[in-house]
Amino acid sequence: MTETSTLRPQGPRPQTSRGRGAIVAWLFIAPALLFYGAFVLVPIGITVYYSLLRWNGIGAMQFKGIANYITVLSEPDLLQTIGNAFQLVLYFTILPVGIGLGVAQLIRKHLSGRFGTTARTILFIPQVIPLVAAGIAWSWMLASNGVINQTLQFIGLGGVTRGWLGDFDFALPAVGFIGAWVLLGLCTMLLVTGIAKIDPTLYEAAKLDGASGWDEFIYVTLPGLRQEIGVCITVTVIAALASFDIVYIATGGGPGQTTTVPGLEVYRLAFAHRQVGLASALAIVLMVLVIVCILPIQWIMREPRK
Amino acid sequence: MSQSASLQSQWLGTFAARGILVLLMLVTLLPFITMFSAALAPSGTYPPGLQWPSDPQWGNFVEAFQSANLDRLLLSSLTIVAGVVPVSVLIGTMAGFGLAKLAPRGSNMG
Repeated sequence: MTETSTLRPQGPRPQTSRGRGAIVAWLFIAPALLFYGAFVLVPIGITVYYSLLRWNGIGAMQFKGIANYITVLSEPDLLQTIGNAFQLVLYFTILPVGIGLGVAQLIRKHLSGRFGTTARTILFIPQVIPLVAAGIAWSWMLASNGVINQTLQFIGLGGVTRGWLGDFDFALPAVGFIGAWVLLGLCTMLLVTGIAKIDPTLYEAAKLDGASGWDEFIYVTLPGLRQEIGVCITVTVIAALASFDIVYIATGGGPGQTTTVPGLEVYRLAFAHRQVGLASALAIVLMVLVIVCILPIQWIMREPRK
Repeated sequence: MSQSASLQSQWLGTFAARGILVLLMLVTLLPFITMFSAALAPSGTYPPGLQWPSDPQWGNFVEAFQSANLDRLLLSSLTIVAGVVPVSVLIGTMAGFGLAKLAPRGSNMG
């Protein structure tokens, strides 16, 4: 979805083909469309249908209209899961995009050097391991006798040590931090690739005009990375709102409800509480929320028409 | 004089930049290092945090490979790769070509 709307073909658009050309074009597109329909559109349709039912997954279905949606939008526990997801956006999006931009600016001058290559490679590693592995590694590091507390004690901050993932106030930020750790590599990769494409003469011109490093960042780097930043924000916002793996492994939604996110609640409602209808309604609400959040980002970050 | 001062500040800037990057790389690698040190601990123990075991149990890797039936699991992964990669690359390329180059009406909504 994001690719088609952000990566527009460069140069003049090809002539819209009609007649025989159009048939050939649609034949090329047909297999992908078929897969997309069978594995994306049909399941979404079925989920919408389920969301109108009261159903335990095996027994008789009972048509309930929009009752499930009313429950989703009025039950405080379910609303809290949505609120938690939006809090995760703060960590999943702002940290990786912010740090990624900083890293891109810092290694801009040594992109091809050994140091730049090493930095890029290492920062990308979290992207290639399964989220479950990241969750396990971090939940163990954040435990009360884990590395994080060991380090804090070492630098004289023994007073703030705690079981981070079991703390009512710090569990959600801790989960957010794990997500930021995973997504930082992706953002850095995209932004570094993007900054390499910015015309170096722009930086030279800025320097000749007496621009400071900060000015360069604001007036050359940020505008030049507009599209890449858009992709980063899109991907990370989706990762936050639709998060499941990290939360499931690291906290299981606890303590209490403090880290429960919609993705986890959908799973729980459907497979533990056997409320397939309600779970489907929450899933549809989540999908609509993601789309509602992503569309404005797409519009804002789109390259201005020339 | 002023030139040497600017050279010095430039050098300091590079130094600080590299310092920040090295710190970030360490934070990135930390989970892997802890996992590795824990992987070498004797089975049945629960090593606290980052601690190089006094008697590294390299055999843990072999044991994990066997008890998880990793050869079977890897075969399953390989089967999935063999199916997913060719099919998605093929139909993805075809659709990309169809949408971008042949551009039928209705291909550019929104």
